[in-house]
This record gives sequence, C-alpha cells and structure tokens, in this order.
Amino acid sequence: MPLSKDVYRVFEDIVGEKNISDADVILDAYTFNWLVEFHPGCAPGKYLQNRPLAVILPGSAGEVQAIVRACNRYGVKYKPSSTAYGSHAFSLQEDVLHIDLKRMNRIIDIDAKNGFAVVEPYVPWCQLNAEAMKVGLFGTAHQAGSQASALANVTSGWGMNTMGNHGGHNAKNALGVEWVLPDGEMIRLGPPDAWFTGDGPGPSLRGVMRGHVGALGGNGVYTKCAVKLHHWPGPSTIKTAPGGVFSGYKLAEPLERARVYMVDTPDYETLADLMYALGDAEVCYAIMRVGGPEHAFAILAGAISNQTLVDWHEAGMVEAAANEWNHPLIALLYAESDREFAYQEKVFHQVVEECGASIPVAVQVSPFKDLLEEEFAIFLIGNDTHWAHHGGGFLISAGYMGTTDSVIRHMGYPAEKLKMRYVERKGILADGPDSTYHNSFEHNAYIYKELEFHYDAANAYSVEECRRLVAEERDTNREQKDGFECQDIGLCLGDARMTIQERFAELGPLYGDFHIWQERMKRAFDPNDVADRSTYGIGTAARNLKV
Amino acid sequence: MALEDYRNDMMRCVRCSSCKFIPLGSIVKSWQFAYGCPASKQMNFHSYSGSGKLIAALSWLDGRIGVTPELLDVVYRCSLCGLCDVSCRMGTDMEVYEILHQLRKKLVAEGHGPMPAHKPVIESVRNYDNVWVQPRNRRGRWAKGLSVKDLSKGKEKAEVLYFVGCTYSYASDLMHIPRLTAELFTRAGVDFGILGARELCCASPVYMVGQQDLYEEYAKKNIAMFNELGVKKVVTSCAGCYGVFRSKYPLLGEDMDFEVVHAEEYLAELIGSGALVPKNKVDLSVTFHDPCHTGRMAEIRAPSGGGEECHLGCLPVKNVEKVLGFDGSYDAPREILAAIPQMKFSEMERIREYSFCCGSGGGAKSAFPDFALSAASDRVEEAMSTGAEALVTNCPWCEKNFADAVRETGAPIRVVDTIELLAQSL
Amino acid sequence: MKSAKSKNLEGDLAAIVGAEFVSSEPGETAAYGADRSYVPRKNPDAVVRPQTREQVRAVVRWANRTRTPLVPVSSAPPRFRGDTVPAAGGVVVDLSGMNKVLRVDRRNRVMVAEAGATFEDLAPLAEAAGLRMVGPLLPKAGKSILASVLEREPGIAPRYQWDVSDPLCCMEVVFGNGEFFRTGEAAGPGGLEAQWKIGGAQKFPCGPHQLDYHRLVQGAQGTMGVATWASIKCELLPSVSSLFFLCHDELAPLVSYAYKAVKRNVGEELFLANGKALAMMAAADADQAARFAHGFPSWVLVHVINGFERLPEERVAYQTADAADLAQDCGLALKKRVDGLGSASFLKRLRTPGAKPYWKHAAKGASQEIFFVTTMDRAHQYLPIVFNEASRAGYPASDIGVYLQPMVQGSSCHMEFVLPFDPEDERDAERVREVFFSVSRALLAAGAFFSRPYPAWAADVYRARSDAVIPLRRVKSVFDPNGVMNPGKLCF
Repeated sequence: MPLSKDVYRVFEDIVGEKNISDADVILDAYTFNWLVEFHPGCAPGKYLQNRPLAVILPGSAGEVQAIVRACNRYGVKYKPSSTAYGSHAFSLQEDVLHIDLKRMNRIIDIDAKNGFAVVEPYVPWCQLNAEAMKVGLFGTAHQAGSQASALANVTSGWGMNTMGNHGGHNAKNALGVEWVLPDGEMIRLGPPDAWFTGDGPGPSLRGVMRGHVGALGGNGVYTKCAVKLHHWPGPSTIKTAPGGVFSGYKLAEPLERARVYMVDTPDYETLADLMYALGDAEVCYAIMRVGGPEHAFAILAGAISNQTLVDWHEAGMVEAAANEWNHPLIALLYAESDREFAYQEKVFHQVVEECGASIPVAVQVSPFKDLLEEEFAIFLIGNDTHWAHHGGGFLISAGYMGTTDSVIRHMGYPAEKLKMRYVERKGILADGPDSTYHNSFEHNAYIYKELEFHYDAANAYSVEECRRLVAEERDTNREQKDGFECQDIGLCLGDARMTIQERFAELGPLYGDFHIWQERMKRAFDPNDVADRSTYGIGTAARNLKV
Repeated sequence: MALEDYRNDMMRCVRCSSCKFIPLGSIVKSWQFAYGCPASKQMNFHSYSGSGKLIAALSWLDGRIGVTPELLDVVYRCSLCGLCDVSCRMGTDMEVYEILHQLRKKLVAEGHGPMPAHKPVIESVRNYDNVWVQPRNRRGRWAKGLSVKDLSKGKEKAEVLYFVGCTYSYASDLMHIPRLTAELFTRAGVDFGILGARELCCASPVYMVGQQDLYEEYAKKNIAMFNELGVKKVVTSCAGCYGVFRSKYPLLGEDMDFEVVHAEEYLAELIGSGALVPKNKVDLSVTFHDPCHTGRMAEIRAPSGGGEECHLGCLPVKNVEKVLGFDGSYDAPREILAAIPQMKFSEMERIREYSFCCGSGGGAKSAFPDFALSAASDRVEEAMSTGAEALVTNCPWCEKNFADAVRETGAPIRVVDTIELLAQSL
Repeated sequence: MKSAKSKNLEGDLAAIVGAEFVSSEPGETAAYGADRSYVPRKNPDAVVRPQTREQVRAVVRWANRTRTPLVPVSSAPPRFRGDTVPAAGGVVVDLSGMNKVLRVDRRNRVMVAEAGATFEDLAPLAEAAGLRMVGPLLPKAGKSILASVLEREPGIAPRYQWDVSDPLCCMEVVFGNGEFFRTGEAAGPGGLEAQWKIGGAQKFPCGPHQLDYHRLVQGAQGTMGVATWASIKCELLPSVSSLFFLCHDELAPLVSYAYKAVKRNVGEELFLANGKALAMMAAADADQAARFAHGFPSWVLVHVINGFERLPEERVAYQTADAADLAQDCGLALKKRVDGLGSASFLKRLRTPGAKPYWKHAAKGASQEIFFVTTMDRAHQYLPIVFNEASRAGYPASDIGVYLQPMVQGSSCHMEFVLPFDPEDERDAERVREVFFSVSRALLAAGAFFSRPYPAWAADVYRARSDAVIPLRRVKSVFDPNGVMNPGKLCF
C-alpha cells in the first residue's frame, strides 16, 4: 500500500522536498541490481518484484533517527543502503521505504596517530584511502571495489578484501560506531565521546551489529563508524598513466619496495602448503588468487575488452599458460624499509622453493611481467573490480570462510567438474575449471574463497544456466555432508528453486539454529518489526518461527 | 541505430556506482575530488548517475515507467560529459554514453524532449544557423579590421579553414579569442581563411539534446562545405565544434577530405616548429581544465548499434573497437603553457580523460543553470586547491560557465583562455 | 551449618554431576563468597564442579527450572575483580576441573582449551608444537585462558590483535536459557572432531551469519552463559628473541615510538610502564621491587623482537636496525639493560605464565588495580588526575605503578594504575580503598572509558550510559531470559 499523503509529508518534513521521491523513475533505480536474477520470480530480468514506497535521502544522523522513529510510529518498514551494489542492498519485501544514505558522505576525522578514520555511510573506500594514504595509512577496501562504502563494508555487509593478509577481515576492523537502532534510539558503541573502540562498556554490542555476513540493513542504520586503518608503506599518492590491460592504467613510476609475484603450484595440496608457509613467514602484504590460468586471463582481459580475451585465446596465449600453470597464487610484498624488503624477498623465495612452487616462465616475460610490475598494484590499491563483469553477470557461489585446509579442499573436485559441465553447455564463460577467488586474512589465519562464474546478464539462457548451476552445486555439497554447506552463510544468492532465506532456514539446524537466535534478537531489538527483514536471517518467514 | 539496440548493455549494468567516480584505476587522489559525474555529485538519487539513466532507459523501454517530468529531469539534468562512459569502460564493454544519447534521441523523436529551454536554441540554429538567435550577417564581426581571407565566396583559397563557432563569433566577451588566434596564425605565416557569415553552427548543441534530424542536416552541410572549400585542415577554437567534427561527423559515413584540428594543437605545432616563439615572461600560476569536448568527447566512439557476437561460451564481444578516452586532445594546451616563460603550472586532480565537466554541456546550462553552476563551482574549487591564480581552458562554454561560477562564489581566481596567455607571451 | 535450601540444592546438583562434585559446605562456599575486590561478601549456596559440557548444560537448565542464580568461575583463587562474587547467592559453577587442552594445531596456529585450562597448562603443550599464545602481561598462576579472553584482557603483542576480541576465535557456550551454541566458524556442521576431520580448526570468530555471539559473551562477566571451551589464536614460537628497553623521563617520546613500531609491525611484544610498574613486573620479591624502583627511569618501553622459523637471526637483525632508526627519530635508544635488570632475565620472566609473585603483588603483597581503555596520546592526561587524587588521600604517587598496553594494532590502549598495599597493614589497606574509589570516580568524571566495568565501577559507568543499558538488557533477555546468570553484575 502506498504511503498516504500525510505520512509522506511527515518524511518530507524531515528531509525537505528535494530529498524524497516516489517517482517511478527514481524508484526503479532502487529495484534493479546485480544478482537480482537469483531471486525466484525475477529472472531473467534484474528488477525486483517490488518497488520501494519511496526513496528518502537523509543528510544527518538526526534525520535518520527522525525517519526511523516515524517508521516505527506509522508502521512503515525501511531499508537503508549506502553504495548499494548487489541485490542484498534492496528490500525484497513490499511496502518498504528505502533510505539512501548518499548525502551522508563526509570523512569526519582521520586520526593518523591511532590509525582510524571516522566516516559517514557514503564514503567509498576510494575516497577514504585517498586521504588515508596521505598520512601513511590504508583501509582494507572490499573486493567488490573501492567504489563501495567503507562503513557498509565494516558495519553492515561482507568484509572480505584484497589487503586482508595485512589488514584483516573488515568484520574485525570496526571501532566506534554511531547506530540508530531499529526502534529509533541512537547509541554509540564504545565511549560516548571518542571513536577509538566500539567495545563496551561490558559485552560488545558489535555482536548485535553485524556478525560474519553483516545485517545488510536489517538492524537499524549505522550513521558513523570508525574504520581501523593499517600501515601503508607506499607514497601519499599513486601516480598512474594511461595504458595497461585491466584497469586502463599502469603505474607512472614503480612503487618502491613493492613487488607482486604470481607463483604457481602443481596441485591444491601444494597450494595449501604454500599459503600456510607464507602465512607463517608474515612476509606478504596481500595474498590472493584469481583462479587457474584461464580464469586469471579472463579477469585480466576485462578492461581492454572482451575481444582481448578472445584474441588471447586465438593467439594461443591462454592455452600456453594453461599448459604451464596449474594453481597460481598472487602475493604482494610491500615493505617500509630496504632491509625489510630484502628479508621479505629472501624468505618469500625460500618458501616458494621449499613448498615445490614455482614462478612460471610466462610471468617473467612481457606482457605478464609488465602486468604484474606495472598494473597489479593498481588493482590492489585502486581496487577497480567492475572489470569482472564481462557480460554484466558475475556469479559468486560457494563462498566459504575458514582455515586454508578446509577451504582449499573444495577448490578442486567437485566444483571444477560441475563447472566444466556448464562450460560445455555454453551457459557460462569458458574460463577453465578453476575459478576460485581467494583472499588471506591475518597472515593466512583464515581465508575466504568463492567460486566465480561469468555469465551474460542479457542472455536468458545464460542466466538460467547459472541458476541451475548454483542449485546443483548446493545439492552436490549437501550430499558431501562434510562442512561445505557453510558456503552459503556468506552469500545472498538464491537459485532456481529457492530464495537464499529459504536456504538459510534449511541450514539453520546445522549451525546451531542460528536463525532462531537471530530471530530472538530481532524481536528484542525491533519490537515494531519495521527494520527490513527480507535479507536478515531467514527473511520474512522468520515471523512464523516459534522462538 | 536506436535505444532498443542497446538493451543488452542496459541489462548488463551491475549498479556498481563506478560511473559516479573518476576511474578507480587512475587512483582517486582525495575525498573532495573523487566524483567524476557532476549530476551524481549534485543530485543524490541513484537515477541521476550513468547507471541510473541506463536503468531509467530500460524501464521506459519495458513500459515500467512513462515519460514524466521526473524522467526528463533525470535525463537532461546531465551535461552528457561522458565521464560515466569512461569510468564504466575501464572495466566493461558497455556503451553508456551512446545509451544516454539514444535516450535523448528517442525522447525527442517521440515528442517528449528536449527541455523547453532547448527549443529556442534549436529554432535559432534552424533559423539563424547559430545558437545565439543572432543574424547571420553579424557572424564575422569578430574579424572586423583583421586582414583575413574570406573563403566563403569561393574566390580566395587557403590551406586552412579557421572555423570559429557560434559562441566565439557572437559572444562579445569572448570575441577577442578568435581575433588573437587569427593574429597568431597570421604572425606565424599560416595560410588560412574564414567563412564569415557563411559559417554554420557545428550542430553539436542540437546533437547533445537529441535533435538528431537537425544535427545530421547541419553536419552534412558542413562536411560538404569543407570538402568544397578544398582546405586541408579545419581548425577551430571551439571545443564543442572540435569535438563534434572529430568524433561525431565521421560516424555519418560522409567523405571528409580534411583534417580536424583544434587551434591550440595547431599553435602548439607552430611553437614546436619555431614559427612562434613565446618570449615574454608571464608570471602567473595556472592550472588547466580539459574540456570534455576536446578530451574524451573528441575521441571517436563508434557505436556498436547493439552488434555483438558470442564467444567462449557466453562472452559477448562487440563489433566495434573499444576506446577509453585516452585519444582526446590533451597535450597541446599543456605544451603551450609549458612554453610560456616563467609560467607556473599545476595539474588538478581530475584531468585529461577523467576531467571533471564544467557542467555547461548537453544543454544543461540553458535548461538547468543551477546544476551547471554547481558543477562549475566544484571545478573552480579544485582549481583553487592547486594554488593557481588562473584557471585556463580552451572552450567558450567552459569559460562562460566558470566565469559565472567565479562571479557567483567570489572565488579569487581568473578564468583565462590558453590563447590569451600565449598572445601575452609573444 | 548447611541450610535446608543448600541441602536441596546439593541434592539436585549431585544428581547432575555426582555428589563428589558438588558442595554446600560453608567452608567451601565461603571461598567463593568474597575476593580481593571491595564487593561485599556473599557466599553461594553451593558450588558445583561439572566435568563435562553436558553437565554444564544440565546445571543451567536446572537453574532455569528453579530460578537459581549461577555464577561461572574458571580461574583459581585469588580473584580480584568482584565479578565472580555471587551478588544474589545461588550456585557457583566452578569449571576449573574442565581443564583439558583439547587440541594444539600447529598448521592452523590455534589451540582449543576447556574453560579451566590455565596459561601454565597450555604453555608447554604449545611450545612442543612450536607455538605460543600471546596472552596478557604476566598472568597470575591459575588464571584460566578462557576467562582471560572473555574478560578481554589485552595481550602484550598489539600487532597480533586485529580486533579487541583477539585472540579468542570460537567457543562453545551454554547460554542462560540452557541451549548449547558454538560461535563463529565452529557453529557447524558437526562438532569439533567432525570439523577437524575436514581441515577445520575453529579459527574464524565471526558469526554464524549476522550476529557475533563471541562479542556478546566476552565482557559479560558470566551474565550470558557458561563457556565450556574456546579456540585461541596462537602465534609461532620464536626461535630467537631480543628484548629492548627504551627509557625516558617523559612518556611522550615512548608513545611516539610505540605508535611507529606497532603500526609498522616492528617487533611483537610491546608495552610501556613507569619505573614502579616495571620494578613490580621484574622483581622476585618486595625488596628487589623497591631496589629496582629506586633506580629505574621514569618511563620504560619494553619491546621484544623475535625471529621465527625462517632466517630468524636475519629477521631480528633487520627489525632491530629498523627499531633503532625509529628510536633515533624519537630521541631514544634501544637498551639491553636498565639499572640492574637485564633483558634476558626479564624476557624469561615475561614468558613464564603464572610466575610468582604475581607482579601486582610484588611490591607490597597486595594491590588494587584501576584500568580503562584510552589511546596512547591521551594517556598522559590521566596521570595528574590519578597522582593528585592519590596524593590528596595521602597515598604516595610514587608508589603507583602505571602500565600502558597498546591494543588493537595501536588504535587504543589499556591504561592501568596499580596501587600496591600491605595487606597486613589495615591503615594502608583502608587508604588504598579510599584512593581506589576516589581515583576511579575522578577518572570516570574525566571521561575515562571503563570498557570492562567490574562491580566497583558498574553502577557509575552505566548510570552515565543509559543508551547502552537498554540494548544490553535486550541482549540479556535473549540469552538469559530468566536472569539466572550472575545476576547483579554489569547493568543486569
């Protein structure tokens, strides 16, 4: 039911006429998103079935609080978002007010000494890191790209990032937080007048704030957050020049005391050994992988054009690499002092050799040598990742966070075999069996991995194949009964048969009935049930849960 | 070629918001100057971003939304500067600019566009061959007193046609730019002439608002006239003319027997060859604004028309070569400024292919002056942040809009054309 | 003499854990009725010592049925902070018998220990595997590892602390409503063994899904449930270590060095102390503490640089050179000795958990501690507040030990004041009592953030934080709907 004129006026009075709209053209921009195809009933299109009631743009925490209070008073459900990349950023429910936090875009402070920045929701990592680098710090930008909100990543959703080996997972990088609770009360996590910690007094309410996945807007609105930043050994600004393969740019001058390596391993066991050994050695600023050679090439070709990838295949470059490489790993060495860099280099090569890994010949000569030397650092620093959408569709599945051994055993069979069947059916991009993306955190204390499948969002067959692929992959994993089902905990994808929330309901009992615990917490914190629950817990079905 | 042809691209938008910012691979330099899209900077609903406009276009095509004042606001409160296209293309094969253009075209074709403020401009072009509702016979007034060949009557011939453009021809506050340019050409011994009252609008403004029929009519007339003149080069001082001559006219499929050159490219060459030697010191700190139309919008983006093939299973491969904005005219003004003794030059953060638009283009200045002013003020602030005393550029539209912003904000910075500084140093 | 109530309790509990593991003997319960804090004595009605997780759950369920308060305790006495004194009576659940180290996993650098396992229990096992847990500064003998991490006691190597919750990874909890739950990656599927079998190691702490349960149990002083085991992040055992002292009359240059070293990941263990505190940490007895204190500089930063498995000497060498550069930038120098205290002997002490005497008691046999969280650059603001307030009460400021522990990769800092006193001297003890409360009040008034509000501070802390009280009570209502877990603590 649309907002009544009177209620609309209430919201309008809070933010002003210019900052609220219920025009269709405005609402549709909050209905269409990446991965909507994976919500039952939406494919092959990318529009959710419901538009929000209106979109409102608060300019301050006070306005957010007033909006949330009004929502509670008038029984209006609400869903906040910041940069809103991916279907989880929108509500799947009907009759929801969408709160777009774009006007709240300030960096309130960078505390260079104590190593954190206080930001509002619409400060993307690219803006934050531009300022952080000036004071010798760097934020762990989300792997979805540095155009994504830092606050959202730290307080509300995901947390994986490319620099995590050094900087950790972003679920652990939140300090003080200002939070408008689902019922409209505003609290500060940590001290009331400082941002250096968000824990206490007593139990840390960060525990209610996000968890592993993030509340995804289902738990009130985080209006400010102190983001822990990390040491940055690089320059205050990075000079780039046009060129390069995958981001359009290359370094105008080499970074001092920095080097990117691509190392190959003959099998997954060796890959695991290598990752553990590099973790123990603590010599890498970043450790990640972008799948096997074919997948890596597909990713790397992204910016120049899809034609480039075809050309590389036709020139035999991909095949040659596939013949030489097996399961590569990418590592960034980055040191503050020459001594440190020399040590890192020495230890790194020792580890590589001892583990039976090698540096492929192909990456020691142009063009891949140049790519690693001149471009890969840009990928890690600039973190422009929208190249991954060759056809506007980039399916992430089997997301898994855990120890290297538990994760890596799922990088090979059965995922590869399953994928290749879909490759043969031309439903997804033919980029080899191994398309495992991975990041290490806290010196490989744990890793995140996901399988990536490129599809064409404009091709109904391709979309449908991906939906089938996800469903089949989940069935396969379920049959294995060995813990791999943990995969879906980190993601928000439905499949051909069920919503992710239905999937969570199935998984709940395997994970301590987390869905019941979450619903208990939801009811305690959101007595009027107005904070959007469609991407929280098991979704709207939780209303019927006996808790 | 029609909006419908680009449906696949619209479907492929992932709403990542990269189109709002300067290309991430260029590495953002500050919080303050990270935005690349002036519309998204000013208007906060996602619909105003490149992505939002793609979604709006798709929604309209699919009948999800009708043509409303809000849709027109989303579409036209935009300077069509092409930044979203550059930022998106750094990672995808999407043709964002083309979709935005086709969207305007379709709105016009179906009688919904352009905006009311654009209509007098269109009528002016139609009736007076210029955008300023000025009589044709006053077009050559800027050259009064100069000894310049008049190529319009076919009696005189020259290697170079100096095409001045509507704004430099009629705007009394800018007329000194073509005069200075012509004087410099003369001084360097360039064999050039002008068209005077026969010069026509380049039709870039009508192209930008989606009035395709009128654009094509004028573009073809111009091409025919240039060919007929037998000139080797068409040199223009106006960024708008330069951009459309260089990047859009070739797409019409007509033979173009001439090279398109910006006046500053030509002057930079003359300096390089020693024909012009800047000697006088100009003790000034300056920064340079790359106009969209000499930069990324001067690069030919051949539209695919939706043509693509499927490779490697489901990889859509476009039938056109992808460009990233690097082939604009970026070096000439910098070379000129570098040649001026004692001039101190600092770059702004957003330059070259990811320059921040002044906000004037795409019909925005006439239809949404508040928006244009807001963008210009943002850019003036960026220029100020370099410590420059003067913001230098080479586009009449940018210069006028910046001048308005400086007047409005009281910013202590001058807006100067490159040519003025060069002339001062000679 | 046992009351009838106690007898009933004993009977019920004996049915769960066996008669030998439950007692309501006043002689035994009295040991839990008071500690070294200023919390008034309140003896529990009984103490129960479960030996298995199932017994723990059964006890919690029984408590819910009978609405009996439960107070979990896992460290050996003496206890100092009042959190385990049963404010409302009831039953103490003493977990010290559940003290097995269930696993030490070298490859994943993690260990799993039951609630009662102490630092002394773990250290040799970890060492044998080539690991160590970087725990808090000189933990007292009998201190439960799990209790330490649940209390968010800061470890002494701040660069390993990505989050204030570190090094806690996952744990099993019997929540106040009697339900089992495993936090983080350990949530499922399967139990420990099943997860180990597939390469899991209970390492990632967050979740499952959209709540971080571990954060809600940490800092809760046993008010949410009873943790039965925890997995703890370990680090490689150093093969070479070099401890340095950096000394100065002022705190500022040392703080400056600490920021640089922690941020740049130079070295591992790093903390700051005034001469008095360092003397307490290093001394074998009161006399030595006095001698050390006399000769030690005003402020000392202790920094340990280690080499591990690979090129350990080279690592120590380059890091020492880098550290020397940093020190020079700050007008400091790396020293191997500070007035009678050699780096090797102090390093040995630092790495001996449970060493006696407990450092805070070294000067006079007893002490009170006042601590809160701040940042290193704010720390100096609190010094005059504490010293002036102590002096006003007639307690010599020069007796106060000050310990600064950078936390969470340098983003914050644990600041602690240790007030030694002679437990045999009533006047001294009474004076410290006065100082403890007046200093605490003065610090609270000055905005010090008591993130771990033990009973002496809780009322004042929460009075000023009504915004936090309501949501915390909501959390409590979820995990402990009948309010059986340690009632009267925090804001519950």
